Amino acid sequence: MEAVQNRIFLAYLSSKVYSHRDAVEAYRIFAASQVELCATSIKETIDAAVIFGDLFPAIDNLQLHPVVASLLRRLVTATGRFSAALEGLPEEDYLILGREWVLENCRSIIEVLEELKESQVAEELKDEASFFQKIEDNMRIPEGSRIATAICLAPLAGPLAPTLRSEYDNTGLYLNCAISKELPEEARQTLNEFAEAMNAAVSQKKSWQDTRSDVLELQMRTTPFESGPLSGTPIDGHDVQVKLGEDTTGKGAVFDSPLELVDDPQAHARLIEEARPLTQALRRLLYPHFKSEPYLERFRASGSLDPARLALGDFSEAVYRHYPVLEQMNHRGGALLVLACDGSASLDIDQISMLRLLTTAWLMSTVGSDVKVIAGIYHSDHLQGLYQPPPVVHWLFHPRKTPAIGQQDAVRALLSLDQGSGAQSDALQLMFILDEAVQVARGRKIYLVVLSDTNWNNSFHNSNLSGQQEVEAFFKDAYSRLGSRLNVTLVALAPNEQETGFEKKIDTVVSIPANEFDDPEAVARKIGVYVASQIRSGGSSRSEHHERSRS
Amino acid sequence: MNVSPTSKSVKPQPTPWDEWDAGCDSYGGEMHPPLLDIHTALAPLLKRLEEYDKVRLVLEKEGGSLAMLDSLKQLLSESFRLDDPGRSEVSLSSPQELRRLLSRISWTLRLEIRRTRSCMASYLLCRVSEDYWGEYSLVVEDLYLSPGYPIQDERFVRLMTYSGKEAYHIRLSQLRSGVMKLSGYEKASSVEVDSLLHRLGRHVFQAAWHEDQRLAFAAASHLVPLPSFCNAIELLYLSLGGDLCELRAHLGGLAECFAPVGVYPQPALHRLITGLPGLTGAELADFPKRATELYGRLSKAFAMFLQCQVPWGLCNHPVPVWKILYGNFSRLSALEELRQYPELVDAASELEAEAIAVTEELLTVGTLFG
Repeated sequence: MEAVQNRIFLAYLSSKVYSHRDAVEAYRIFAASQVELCATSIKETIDAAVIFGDLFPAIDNLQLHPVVASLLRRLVTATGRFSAALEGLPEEDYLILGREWVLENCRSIIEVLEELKESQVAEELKDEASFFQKIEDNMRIPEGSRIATAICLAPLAGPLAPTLRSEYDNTGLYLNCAISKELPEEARQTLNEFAEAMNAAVSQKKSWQDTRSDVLELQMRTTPFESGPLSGTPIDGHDVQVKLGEDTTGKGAVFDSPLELVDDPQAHARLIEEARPLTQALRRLLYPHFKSEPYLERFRASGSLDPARLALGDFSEAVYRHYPVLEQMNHRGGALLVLACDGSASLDIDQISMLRLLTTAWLMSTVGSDVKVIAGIYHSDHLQGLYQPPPVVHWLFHPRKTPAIGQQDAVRALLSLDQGSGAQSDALQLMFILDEAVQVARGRKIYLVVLSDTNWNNSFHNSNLSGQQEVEAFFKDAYSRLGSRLNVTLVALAPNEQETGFEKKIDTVVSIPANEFDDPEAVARKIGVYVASQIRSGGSSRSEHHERSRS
Repeated sequence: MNVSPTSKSVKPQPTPWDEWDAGCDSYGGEMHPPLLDIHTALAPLLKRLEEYDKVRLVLEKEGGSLAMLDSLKQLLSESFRLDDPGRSEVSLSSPQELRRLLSRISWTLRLEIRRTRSCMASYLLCRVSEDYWGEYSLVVEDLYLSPGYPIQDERFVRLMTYSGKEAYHIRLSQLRSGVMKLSGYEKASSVEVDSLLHRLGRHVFQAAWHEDQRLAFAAASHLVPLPSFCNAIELLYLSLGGDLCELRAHLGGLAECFAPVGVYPQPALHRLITGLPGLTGAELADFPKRATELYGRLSKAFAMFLQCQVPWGLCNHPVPVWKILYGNFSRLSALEELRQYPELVDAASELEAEAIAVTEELLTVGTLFG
């Protein structure tokens, strides 16, 4: 009945509502091409015959199971007559036509059942449950032919008998092979294990990739007239919020995608070689990760009283022992290094070149260590479907979002970066990158390195703050949320002023003036000084910094 | 803050891949994937895929037993080692790890896995040559192609790119065996064959083949044979989308690829490429203009062909050919019955005649096309 209803509804939409457009008919034709008749359920066969029957070729040319072929033959013949009658029919006659159509289909199905079973069934049909029970009885494997000890499988690509229900899960067709309830446990286990192994081999797991075309086809085949996986907004950004003040919060959307890797081994080797002095300097940098563990400390009295006898006396546990928290280096998990690179058009060629070298050096310096890395370039870019270029983060290296197989491989993504483009939304995009970092870090310490020309941009139209003030608010918010887990370094590439304004607000500022760009050794020495300062302080985030920023 | 170092962590034993990965520890070493004999390195993988497909095909065509399912499960789950420097261990049930390892062996390798109609895995392992000047990248060799791997149009295949999007790639791998039979290429190395295929792809097929042609080629191969129509399409696309000046500068050895006994016998392209050196600049510049007009004519002729009505289905109602084609695009082999309809045969003859006329008109520029 549902199939007939849908068919009439489609005809109505085509002829009356959207008569000037062929969109509905075009979609019906497309949906017809997706129908798979070789492995189907009873319901799907009926739907296909009623909604798309006028488009199918001769049934004999389709290599179908005899039950499916028989059902299709009868239903399609009925469909042909009623479809022709539907054209030009007044709306008030739809119900009458529909009722006759449904009755005709029921008669066709009963004829098919009569071919399968000798006895008449019609009088015994009382409700849908018993109707389908009759079908199942006729589908059951006859006694003695395929029983548990020597279970045979029909050709899996061959035309299969229709099932009672549409059960498309990851195992797809395997349910068709195991319809009998008499299968022993061992056989079921074999089937399940096989289904798991096949599923692991063939399904798509990467979340950052587009859905594979065959996976998409299977999804759409089972839900032809429902909203498909491509409906809705094809481009969804990530909503990001930045606390700009006591009562003000800036909100925005950021889009992200991986940067494509370049297949040029010579250019790859050249860039890594060029960044070698910086890499060597950075490799001495430690990114320790600390863990906080409480330990038991016993009270030791001084003086003439023997402290060992204190336990025999009456004492208060609060005095006798307590549990201070010890922060010590945790060698079981590395810290997370986050590289946020400003890729906007305000950077000239020299700044971009230095940015590439520094990013390469930072990536290469972590190769072979326990330090995890995520690195991205933030700016704006044109995206299909959007009129204005939105803020975009292009990931160079992200454990879940890029195809690079290591930090050295990620350097390939930098090879195509020869100039900046677009405009950055500093506070918004830095917050997005930090949010990603928090998800990846899972409690570990985060070392955020921001490489920028310090030409800060406004991210929020409704804020009265300047770009720099927004970035300051971001750092303040980040320190307050993460506390000692966050260590921030700003690398200023040819800043306009001698001081960036963040010297006392974040952990470290490394300023590289333009006249040092041609001298990687000088940059390496400066990085070395920075590294030494990090080592002296233990690499820990200075609590006095965020105390100052809080105050 | 008290910092007391705890016990040192134990580093795992280095593998031969670590030296390549480390880079910094051996600056004099190679920074790109080592040059391996890919076929030797991948031999165990190819063997495993063959064994898997052998069992799969029997199950799909003849049926089998639960024991065969068990055997398939073991072929998928069991690990095996490749002949790469690290003797890496992989299994077919970890396709991501397998792809990472293939990427280490060569950046040109691509592994695609697709479900067959029986919901089992089918594999395509190929080598890709990137063409940065063109719309498509080029598949130059199929190292392994599972029987029944879904390829609708032999000229194109969808591969997942590094940016996470599926894109069409031109399949020149089907021409590889033809190249190796060309005179002078009988003992050619793999690099030389790749080079010729890359040149063919870059200068000719990038323009001559396009995914928009799939409908026309599907109609030509499954409804009624339309060879001249296909030739005309390729000629028009090359004239409109290709840079004939650049093609003229890189003709060496390309013309014989389209000769009657060549790699891809195509008389229209053969005449064009052979006659190109004799054209003047003005005649070359005139090509796209003429091709634009003739493209409109051929499109119109194809539209007329698709509008032809034939009695269809169990009720024999007249249905236009385009509806039949679109509605059965996933089962085109079942449409061969259309060849018996005289209406369609007549429409096809008219389309062929128009295609021949279009080809002749385009190639009569200058006097050198004969």
